Amino acid sequence: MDAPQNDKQVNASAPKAPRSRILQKQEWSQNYHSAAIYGYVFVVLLICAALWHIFTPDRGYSALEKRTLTAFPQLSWQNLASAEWMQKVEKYASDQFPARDAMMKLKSDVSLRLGETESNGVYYGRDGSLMQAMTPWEPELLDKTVEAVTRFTERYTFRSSYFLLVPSAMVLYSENLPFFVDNQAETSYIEAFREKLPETLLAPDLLPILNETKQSGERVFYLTDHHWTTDAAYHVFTSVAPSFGWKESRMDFSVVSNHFLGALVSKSGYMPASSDSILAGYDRETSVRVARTNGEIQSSFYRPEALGTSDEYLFFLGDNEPMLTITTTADSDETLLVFKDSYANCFLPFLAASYKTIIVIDPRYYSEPVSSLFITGGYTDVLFLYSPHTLAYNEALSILLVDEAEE
Amino acid sequence: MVFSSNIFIFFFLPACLLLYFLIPGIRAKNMILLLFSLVFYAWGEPIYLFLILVSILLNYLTGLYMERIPSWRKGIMVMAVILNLALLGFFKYYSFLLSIVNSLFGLALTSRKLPLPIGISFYTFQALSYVIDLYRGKIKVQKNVFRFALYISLFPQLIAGPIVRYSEVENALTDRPVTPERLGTGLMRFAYGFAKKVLLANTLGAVYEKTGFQLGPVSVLTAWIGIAAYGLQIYFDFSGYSDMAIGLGHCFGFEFPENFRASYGSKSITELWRRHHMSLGNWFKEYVYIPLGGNRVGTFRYIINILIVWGLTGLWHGAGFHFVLWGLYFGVWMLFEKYVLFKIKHFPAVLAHLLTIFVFFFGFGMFQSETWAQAVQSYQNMLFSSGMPAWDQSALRLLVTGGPILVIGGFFASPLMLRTREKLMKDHFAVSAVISLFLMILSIAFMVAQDYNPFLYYRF
Repeated sequence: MDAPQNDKQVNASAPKAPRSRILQKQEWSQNYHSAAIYGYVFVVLLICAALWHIFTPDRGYSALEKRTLTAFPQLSWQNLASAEWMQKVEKYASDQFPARDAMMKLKSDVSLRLGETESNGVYYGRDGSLMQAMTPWEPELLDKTVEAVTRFTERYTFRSSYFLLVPSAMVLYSENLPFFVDNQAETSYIEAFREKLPETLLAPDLLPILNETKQSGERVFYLTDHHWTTDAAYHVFTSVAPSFGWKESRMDFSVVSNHFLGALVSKSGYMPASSDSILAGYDRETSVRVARTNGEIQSSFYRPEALGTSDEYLFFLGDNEPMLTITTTADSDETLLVFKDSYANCFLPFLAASYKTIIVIDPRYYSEPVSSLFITGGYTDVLFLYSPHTLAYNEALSILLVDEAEE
Repeated sequence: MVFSSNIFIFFFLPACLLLYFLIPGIRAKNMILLLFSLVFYAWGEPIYLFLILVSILLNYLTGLYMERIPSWRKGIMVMAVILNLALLGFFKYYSFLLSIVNSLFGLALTSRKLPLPIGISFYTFQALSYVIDLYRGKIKVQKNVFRFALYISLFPQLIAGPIVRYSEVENALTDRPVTPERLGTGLMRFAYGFAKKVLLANTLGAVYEKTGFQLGPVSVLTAWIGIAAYGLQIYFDFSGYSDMAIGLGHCFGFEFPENFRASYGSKSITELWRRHHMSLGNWFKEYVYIPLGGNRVGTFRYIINILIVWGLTGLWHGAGFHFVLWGLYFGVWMLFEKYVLFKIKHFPAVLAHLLTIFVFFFGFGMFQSETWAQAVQSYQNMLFSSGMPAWDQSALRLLVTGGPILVIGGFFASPLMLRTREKLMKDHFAVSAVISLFLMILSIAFMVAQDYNPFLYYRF
């Protein structure tokens, strides 16, 4: 007996009319053949998806998500009983879904059209650029960081101490922020930080300088990445060089990539208005030798092998390293100590002409005491180069610098 | 296992359907469904497989012995009801009861927090319907333990309803239509439910999460956006799940009762609860309200009956005083409707709709809270008493980013869309096929994207 007919009988023999029309039992469909075809197609589609799932080779690493994907778990009585195996299988099935990246993009796109301009802490700007949001920060950490920097520059003598705090696209391109999003968290951080820093440190306000870059028609930030562009970094360099005593290096610039899709694309799943170009500056007169922590030696700041890969930003100095030792052919006896995050990666090439040796420390990965840097003597100058997006949340710098003050 | 997971959609479901339709004979089909149902249940918390087996055995034996020793029927039935409720009570209400004992006697007893066995509230109520209806002579005893196990553990409605009474599937357990057109219409209903859950409920849930109005002081507008998003989320989550369950049941040849009928389009709370989580309402009506005397009693007793039923309905939804209060709130409002509102002639329909939605959503302040303190915080935010402004920038931002999905949600929760969906399925099957497959693909994208988890810290 067919169910729909059954339903009709129920209606006909119902003793009293239901109170509301919406509560009446409905027929499902009268179109039996179409329904049957639909049912078969549906099941076949599901089975195809399952087969596609099974026969697509598992990926070990996701370039878009920048992480290792879950592999199929080993089965044992123990992890079966604790449901651990099931959880891992679910994770595996979801990580290894064949069209995972495409699905993520589809979702972000649909959500964006529905007005959701934020995904995973990334804003989709009104001009189609992606901007990293800054969350509320802790004033205590700011105080700790400022104090650590201050005491460090007092303890060791430097001719000059520089602090470059680079505001982000949220501040520079505030007109492109989505409705009712502000950059209060970042501007207040930069303001408070610069205010508390003693005047012995040269810490110019970079906002007006970067605004000049913007006015000149160059992009200050990538559309698809949180970093500043080479143009912006170079403009800041030439602007501060006279007062910092840096030698204006003679640079040649060339575009090395036109298809750069940065970290914010991965993070948000948004497809930005366009991809970015990467510009590299080459010093005409000075050549360099860069020694990495693992002993590897490069004869350039750049790693061309990163171009064409999924993560082209690694062109600039490669992965974050605890320590880089840069020696140059510059006509100089001066040395520079740098504490930095990745914002320094495209900036350092401009300094090659001014220093004989540059020691570059990323405190997040550097685990030796800071005094070990001074065993072979001091440094002429010290430079801190940071984005508030790292400095505001990461204790590494203050921990590294405070270390010995406590002894 | 949940329906909105890769494992279910791409492996469990096709495997189950394939075997179910290929293997002939109702006995074999029953065994396949039972096996898949037990795997489905054990997937999340294998240890609780024992619990559902205990429940199955307990109620199965109850049936047998009621048949075998007719003079003890009542005693056996009462015993079984007590044992069922004790199981439910132990796993769901133990720490709540302990906290009551603690506050009454000034003690500080603590308990290890047990994870709530999935679906225990649902299958316990299903088992009770069997025991009680058997005692009443409404149904015949089920002598086949596998068939009985299938009734209790049937995976489509196992973990979130609808609560299927035994009488509703008694015949289907031994004889039911298994046809390709039922497969098609059932899967179509499933696809619509899946889209409700993944596209609407989860997106609205994200808006609700962003407001966080139960956790701390926020602006009044933020709190109300949160309530609106939550109310719609609950509807789509629950009704979407019911659609999936009813659809799958249809594929397998069962007719499960309807559970949601565009409830937010009701003109009174009384009507709303007749269209909202109907299988639970019917259960309480059948096994609590009518045995208490229903409305064929004096006014005072009637009021007491209503309050008992709604207090229990609240308690069923969660272990906490705020849940009980939430249930009583509706009981009291329905009494108000019966004795005051329904007496007003020519009460404008628009006003009735608005009042109903307002009262129902207002109640979510209690329902969405995990603790009493959160409920208090929610109402402070909603009622201008947390010292925050009426709106602020973050509220406006929520309005801009969450507004469209709230409007879409409101539209799809309306009776108009329910009728449209049913009409499409009934009379314009091809159109419905295209729409439902499109929604299915989009929903899969959203489901996959839920677990998108980029690791990018190192990039700075």
